[in-house]
Amino acid sequence: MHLQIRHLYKTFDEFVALDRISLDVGAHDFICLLGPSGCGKTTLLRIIAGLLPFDGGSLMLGDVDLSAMPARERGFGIVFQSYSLFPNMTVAENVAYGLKIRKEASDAIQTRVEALLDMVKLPHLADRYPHQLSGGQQQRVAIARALAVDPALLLLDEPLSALDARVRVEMRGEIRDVQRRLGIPTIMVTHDQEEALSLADTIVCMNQGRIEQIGTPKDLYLRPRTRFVADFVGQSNLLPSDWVRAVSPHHMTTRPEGKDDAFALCIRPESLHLISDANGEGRILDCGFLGNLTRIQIAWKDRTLTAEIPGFCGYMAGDAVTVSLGSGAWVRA
Amino acid sequence: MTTIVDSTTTFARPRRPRLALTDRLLLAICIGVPLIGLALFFIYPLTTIAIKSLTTADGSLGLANYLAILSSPSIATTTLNSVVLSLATTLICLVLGFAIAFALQRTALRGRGLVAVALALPMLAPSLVQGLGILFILGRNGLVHKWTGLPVDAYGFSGLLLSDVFYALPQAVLILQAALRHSDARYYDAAEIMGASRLRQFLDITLPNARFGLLSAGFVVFTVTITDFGNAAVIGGNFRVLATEIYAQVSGQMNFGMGAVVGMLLLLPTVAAVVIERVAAQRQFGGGSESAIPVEPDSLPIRDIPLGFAVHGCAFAIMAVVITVIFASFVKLWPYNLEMTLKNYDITVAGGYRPLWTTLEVSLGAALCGVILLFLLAFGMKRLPPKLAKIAYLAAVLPVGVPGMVLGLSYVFAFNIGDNLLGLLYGGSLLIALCNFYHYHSQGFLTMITGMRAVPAALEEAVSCLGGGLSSVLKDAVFPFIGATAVSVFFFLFMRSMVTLSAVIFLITPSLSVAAISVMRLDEAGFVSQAAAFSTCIMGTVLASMVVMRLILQRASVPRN
Repeated sequence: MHLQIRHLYKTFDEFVALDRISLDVGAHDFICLLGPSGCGKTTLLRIIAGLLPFDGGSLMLGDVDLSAMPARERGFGIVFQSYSLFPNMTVAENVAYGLKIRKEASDAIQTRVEALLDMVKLPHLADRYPHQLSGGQQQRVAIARALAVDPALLLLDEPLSALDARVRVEMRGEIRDVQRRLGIPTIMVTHDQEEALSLADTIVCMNQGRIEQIGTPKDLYLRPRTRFVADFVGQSNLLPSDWVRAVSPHHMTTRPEGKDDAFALCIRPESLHLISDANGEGRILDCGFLGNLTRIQIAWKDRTLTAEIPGFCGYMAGDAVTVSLGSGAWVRA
Repeated sequence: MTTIVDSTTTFARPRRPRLALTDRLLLAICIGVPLIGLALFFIYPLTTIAIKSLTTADGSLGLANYLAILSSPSIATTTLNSVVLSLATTLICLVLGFAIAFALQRTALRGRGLVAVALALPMLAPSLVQGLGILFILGRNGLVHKWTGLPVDAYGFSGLLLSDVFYALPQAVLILQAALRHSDARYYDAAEIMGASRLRQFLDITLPNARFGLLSAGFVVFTVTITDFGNAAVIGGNFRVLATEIYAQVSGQMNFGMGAVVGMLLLLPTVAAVVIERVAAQRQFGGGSESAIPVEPDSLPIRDIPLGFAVHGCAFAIMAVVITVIFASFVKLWPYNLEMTLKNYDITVAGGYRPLWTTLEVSLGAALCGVILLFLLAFGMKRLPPKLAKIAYLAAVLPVGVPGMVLGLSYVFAFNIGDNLLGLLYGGSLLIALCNFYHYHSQGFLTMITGMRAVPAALEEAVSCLGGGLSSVLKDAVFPFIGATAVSVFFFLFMRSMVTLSAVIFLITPSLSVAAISVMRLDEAGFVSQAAAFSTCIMGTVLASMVVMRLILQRASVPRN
């Protein structure tokens, strides 16, 4: 089914938390709400779940108006950052909970629970209690619990944020697999751009209660439309129009019409090309070795730019280089 | 900042998910029943006493009662007595209390367990046990007189001061200990590195950080003392204070209007104390940092040895008083014939042991009623809009400012009437149970709210999203977390109700009395050994219930993640 959000508006006292948000979630989409803390992404998720009221706009699932429907009747699955398993129930009882509420037959529940625990790779832990499990295991149980009721929509509220870096990467793959296999429309909230880029079909980048840009991960990275997106998703060099006109005129051909300060050119660090050259106008300021790549600060034509080179590079601070700008995207400043 | 949108996009009423009918009903019960209870058994009686204080002898409204009181020299003396006594008690309790709290919290004091037991003792017994014990030791026919032959007499100011100090000290220590726990070891590390001496550190860090604790402890001691009835009745002698004055006005002279006025006067200092203490408490919590490193106790002989003597001296004195009462209950004629006997436990006057059973019944009732109502209120409040929740909160913490005597007297005015349904409650144990519950409503409520905060919000939301209603939220997300808190609130109400005297004194009838009153009656009639025996029975019952609480608490602790 298709979730349709139109002009959704929400205030807390005087503060505008969501400013007329419109968004569509298709039947099999994996959507990530990405943004810094306080941008309204969690508020939006909680409104969709029915845990918060909203002040204006509409929220429809297919032909059904959700605005007055309580959370318990929406039939959505939700997974929280804090796992939120029932501490006094076993893993199997936790997964069975929603089915029990729906008064399903007990043998049907058992079959379903077994299948779900197989899917999240925990069949051997059915009789354990949550406090006997690791964080990653608890989160898998929480996902199984949310999926048990065949949710019309799966909502994930920063599900990986509380996990160790390694487990997080592992879980990412599993969430993606399960979602693909079941084809359940899914909305995930995250502030981790890497997570969003690797998981989502569509990323909704939010800032200060508004949607900055909706697009595929590739769109957002290669064709950011606003300064905020260029800055928040990946690293970027944001260059003002008059500087570009003087330094690299051929980039001006792709520039949309508008005043000088209306647009800036976004050049990703890997699109900045350096060549060692004793007569070059660029000066290396600093090299930071990050393992798989080296991040370099260069002073060039009165600006400080950031470049990234795969592997280790032999530059020293003070070395002279020739700099050339690769392809970039014009963003609204 | 977000620019505000053009307001042409006007929005109809908020889109709020409607609760299911059963959920709305359950929520209404959660909020409604406890608030109706508060209105009927707290606000209504207090309004009645306020009106009564303004009703003159001929039935018209006016300030005549107040004017009569203000112009009466005896009331002026009584008020002065109360204030002087309370101030003196407060001062002594702050000094001793801070020393004990500091010794327990910051030094390597030996025999902490002993001190803790001594401090717990006065909370197990009716307040008049201190008075009784001091009379056994320092009275005209006390131990000291027998040994030395000196003409000691504990009746009056000094005896009352001593017993009030013993009674209030444990409460002061509890608050000051909490305040001292609230510090950060890094302050001391920084001072040490900058070369500050131990004394400087104490004066510059320890004392200033504990100032809100001192303020708060001071007000609690002042309030407890100025409203205490038990000690004043037993050991006050001719030194009359406001609490005994109300009792004399109402019980002795049947002067209800005047009693009401004194009750209203008694409300003033405690309300002021409670308000200031609340404000102070809020400021205190504002300053606390999340990641504070607790200060470890250390040892410094030059400080710890004298301090240890002082602390154990206090603990010994408190314990000696209570143990004397217990011991005296088993001897033939204290202090002259110390032969052991059980004859003092053969109590036939003042209804024998029946009041003890009544008290048990009343206390169980108060605790059960209380824990259910407080739970419903705390659960329901989380689901109220913030403004309404604030009002409910205020109503729930209001009772802490009302002394037991005033509440008890207001019940007389409100319920000793024949012409409506509420009047039927008068003279029954249910009304005494309700009075005890509302007397200690605030403390129980605050504990319950704190416990409710430990229930993870996400778990409740998970239940809703999985299709569970409010009853499932209660059963699966709230009960597993609130069990231990509910048990401790239950036993708090139970224990307080077992030993309280001041509120119930106005609610008893010739056929219905409670244990603490029996002790007072026996003492008044000169049966001091029997009074001691009865006190011992109360302490035994309360102690047994504490043991039961420990056992249940251990069972109730569920595995957490």
